[in-house]
Amino acid sequence: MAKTIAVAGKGGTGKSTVAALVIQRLRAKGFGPILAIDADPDANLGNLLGMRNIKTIGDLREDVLKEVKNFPAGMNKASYVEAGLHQIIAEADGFDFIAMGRSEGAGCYCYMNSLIRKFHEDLTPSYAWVVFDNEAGLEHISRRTTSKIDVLLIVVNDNPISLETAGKIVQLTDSLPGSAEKRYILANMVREDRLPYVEKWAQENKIDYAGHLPRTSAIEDAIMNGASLLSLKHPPTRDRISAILEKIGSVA
Amino acid sequence: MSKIIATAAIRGAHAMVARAEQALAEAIKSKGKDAAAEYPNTAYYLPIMYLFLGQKVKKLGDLTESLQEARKLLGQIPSKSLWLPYLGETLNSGVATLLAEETLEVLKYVTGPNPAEGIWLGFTGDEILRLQGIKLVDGRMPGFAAIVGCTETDEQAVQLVRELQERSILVFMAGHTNGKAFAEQLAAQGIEMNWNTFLVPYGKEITSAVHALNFAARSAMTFGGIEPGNLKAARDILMYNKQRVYAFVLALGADSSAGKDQLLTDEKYATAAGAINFGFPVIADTDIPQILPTGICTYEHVVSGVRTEEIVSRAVEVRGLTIKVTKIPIPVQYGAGFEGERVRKEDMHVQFGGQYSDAFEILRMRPIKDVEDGKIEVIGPEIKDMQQGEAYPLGIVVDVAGRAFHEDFESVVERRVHEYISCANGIFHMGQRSIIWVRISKQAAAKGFHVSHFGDILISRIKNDFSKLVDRVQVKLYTDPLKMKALMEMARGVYNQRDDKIGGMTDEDVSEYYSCTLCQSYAPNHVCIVTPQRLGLCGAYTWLDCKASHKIDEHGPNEPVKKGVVIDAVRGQWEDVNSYIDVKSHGNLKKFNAYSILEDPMTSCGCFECIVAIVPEANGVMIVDRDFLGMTPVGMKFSTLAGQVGGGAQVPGFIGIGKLYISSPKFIAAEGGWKRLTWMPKQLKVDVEDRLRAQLKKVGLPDLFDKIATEDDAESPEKLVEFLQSVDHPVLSMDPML
Repeated sequence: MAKTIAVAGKGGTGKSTVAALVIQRLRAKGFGPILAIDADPDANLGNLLGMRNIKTIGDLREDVLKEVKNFPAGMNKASYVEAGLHQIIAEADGFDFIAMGRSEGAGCYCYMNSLIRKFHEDLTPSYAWVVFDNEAGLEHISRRTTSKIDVLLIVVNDNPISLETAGKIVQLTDSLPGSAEKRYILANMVREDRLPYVEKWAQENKIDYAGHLPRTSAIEDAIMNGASLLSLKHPPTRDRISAILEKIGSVA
Repeated sequence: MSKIIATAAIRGAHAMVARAEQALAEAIKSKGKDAAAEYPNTAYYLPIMYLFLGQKVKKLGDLTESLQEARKLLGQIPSKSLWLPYLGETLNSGVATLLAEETLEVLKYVTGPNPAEGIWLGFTGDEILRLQGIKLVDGRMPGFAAIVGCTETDEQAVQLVRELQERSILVFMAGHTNGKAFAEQLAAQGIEMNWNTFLVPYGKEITSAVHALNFAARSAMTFGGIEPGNLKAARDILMYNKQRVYAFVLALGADSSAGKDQLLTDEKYATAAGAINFGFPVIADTDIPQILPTGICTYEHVVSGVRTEEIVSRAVEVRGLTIKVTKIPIPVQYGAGFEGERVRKEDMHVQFGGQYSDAFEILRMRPIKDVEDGKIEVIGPEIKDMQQGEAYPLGIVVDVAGRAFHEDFESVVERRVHEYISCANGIFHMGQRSIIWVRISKQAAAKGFHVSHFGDILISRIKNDFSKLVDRVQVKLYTDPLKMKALMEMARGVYNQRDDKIGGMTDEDVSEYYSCTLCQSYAPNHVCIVTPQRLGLCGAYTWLDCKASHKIDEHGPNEPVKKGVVIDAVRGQWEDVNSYIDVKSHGNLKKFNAYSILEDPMTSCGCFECIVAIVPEANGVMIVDRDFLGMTPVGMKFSTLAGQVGGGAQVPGFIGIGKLYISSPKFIAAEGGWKRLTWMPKQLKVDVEDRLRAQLKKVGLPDLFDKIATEDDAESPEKLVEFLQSVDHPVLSMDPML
């Protein structure tokens, strides 16, 4: 059964970077197949994984809603959407990728969301790991278009507001029992002297501390150059991510 | 009745109950009596306690009572020198064991470790129960096998499980023999295990076998509608399982810790005794004692010494399962368990369709002399001519003939092609008509799978499933790009023809409508009744969509609703539809008229595409759609109107509708239909122009379209009446609406 890791946090804390590095490590260790889902409408994960021009589920949703009145009467809409959803999956070595894309616009979404929910349920069993890159609002979790998450990794950085956001995320998942099995804080690019503060915050809020990733020029350079993080060769980062993966107990 | 079995079972039950009592004491010490004791995602509390005791367990403290009851059911361990009848005691000990095991399993959810870890799935939630369990009841899955232990070699395990999958038998796995579990053997061989492949590993310890039984218990409560609470209900639930759920236990291997006369641990016997209460027999591959007389189980209770190679067929016999094995002459395994698998790019040998090449499938009726039964032709390259990793065109053309076959059945049978092809192991099929996507995996290709085998699959399945209608089937598979393209054009023409025909379907043509309760989470008292001529008001669901959705998930948001006696043909009211909505709207709505806006109109949820409202001054109605932001002749904008109309309220004079309904011949037919239509926003008029003009022409009102006002012609009721007079709109000479 697929193990789901969701990465969340305030915009700009480096969630997509963390998600990409986690995928890289899981793949390197041979833990596949992996399904990477970019649930952030801002859609950054794809770039970091070297995937370009990806059609999103949001695009499909809008297409279907626009075409609804022109739909051939004898064709079953649900199979059309299901087929469309399968075609959106971008395939690569050791992992597949889906971008959720924009959130709902005006219009009636009950129908589409019910199909997307079913799609997630049907799809995830084919993978050993699902890595989710979320936006702070965790819309997909609250709307239940995604199913239960095993590990929720909340990323914070030096900005104290990122801790406030983390707090809100904790509250949101508290209010949805069964939505996230285990929750962790990950400190990304946080100054050494501020780490104890973050650890204390984690303790006070009864969230486990997963570890930290310092500011790393190798990562920054790769991102600046538009390179895929999958080809990043930086042993200290590799070791840090491995340690974090072990800490969150996801390494089977 | 075997004394050895009874002794072991009773002893095992004692041990299990004691273990549960201790674990409960520890849990209460660390978490307190009031800590929740619940399984995730179920409405049935702890199903075993609910079934046998009628007890609704919610907290740890409640479990104290459960275990007290379990203790009462424990029999005395039969002494060596005394031979007593103890069938009842053995069965009771089985129940006590299940109560203890349910306790131990739920404690894992309270204090840990989480049972859903690695390959193990733990408790099955109600959602999956409904989705998959229904297949046990309607015959798609003839039964389930609960496998305890392991086989000698991993290869034997794979062979055994494939035999079960071929018969579409659901496989539950729990427990181990000498530290090795069947599920671990399958995992080592790379077998995918989850609810899609019908292979469900519950847990490594024997206690997790209780999940197979709490599943069976809930099947009776859900599908059998049996509410627990007293002894009669408990017995009914057990009988339901004996008579309708064809399950059996396969006990594999010998435990080194057990005595030579037993070969299996006490705990395994105790659990098996629990299963026998449900009428589920045990078949073992070791020489354990047997219980051959019938009684609780329909046939034998415990059968042993069966060779691994024969154990599946023997189990099927002992349980009395009727299996229809469609042996299809293809080199890969075939069964319902393979339907959900997806072939990833890295595992793919070749593919057809999707975004990569053209592909289509079509089924046509032909005259009987034109169909050669069983003929399969591949026109173009075969798999041996294809390069690994590439995409090729594919046209699947199925020709059928039969004395009882009718053109209308073409799409019904064609829709099954998806299911038929995906049930082959290592084959992925998605979509329908000219938007299909098919993949052949590397493993399937290595086993010798050819394009022609699609023909073998379709011929076997169609003849098997539609034997009454179809006499001859032939299949042509086109992989030649030019020939395939020509046929694809032909196919598209046929699809269009079919769509036009269905587009012409009327409400009178069908005997049942469909309901849609998809938005009940937003509007609890609203239910849409979707007819061929009146689609759901969100615009997404047509009658055909509801029908398809119902086929996919019979317990989903769409159900068939019989029309029953016609109360009023003009207004559109039917007896059985009224009774249905009375219940589904929780008493909110007792009756409604499908074609009326004034008398008992249909309710709305809140996301309608358009609102129709009466304009009394004009003696007619206006329509405004969700995208129009301006003012309307009734003095309210869309958003204000929506507030009046939504939430399940029945408001005479206002209805929410889907856009397509505007061009339906049933459009407010009770009040005179299109002649009442006085105003629509410009853009909406453009959207519906083609369809509406065509319909108006059919009924002899070709000029009416241009007489309908827009926001450019009038915004107030006075201006609207002026306009209608200026164009001599028919509404002005009609009877007063109110």
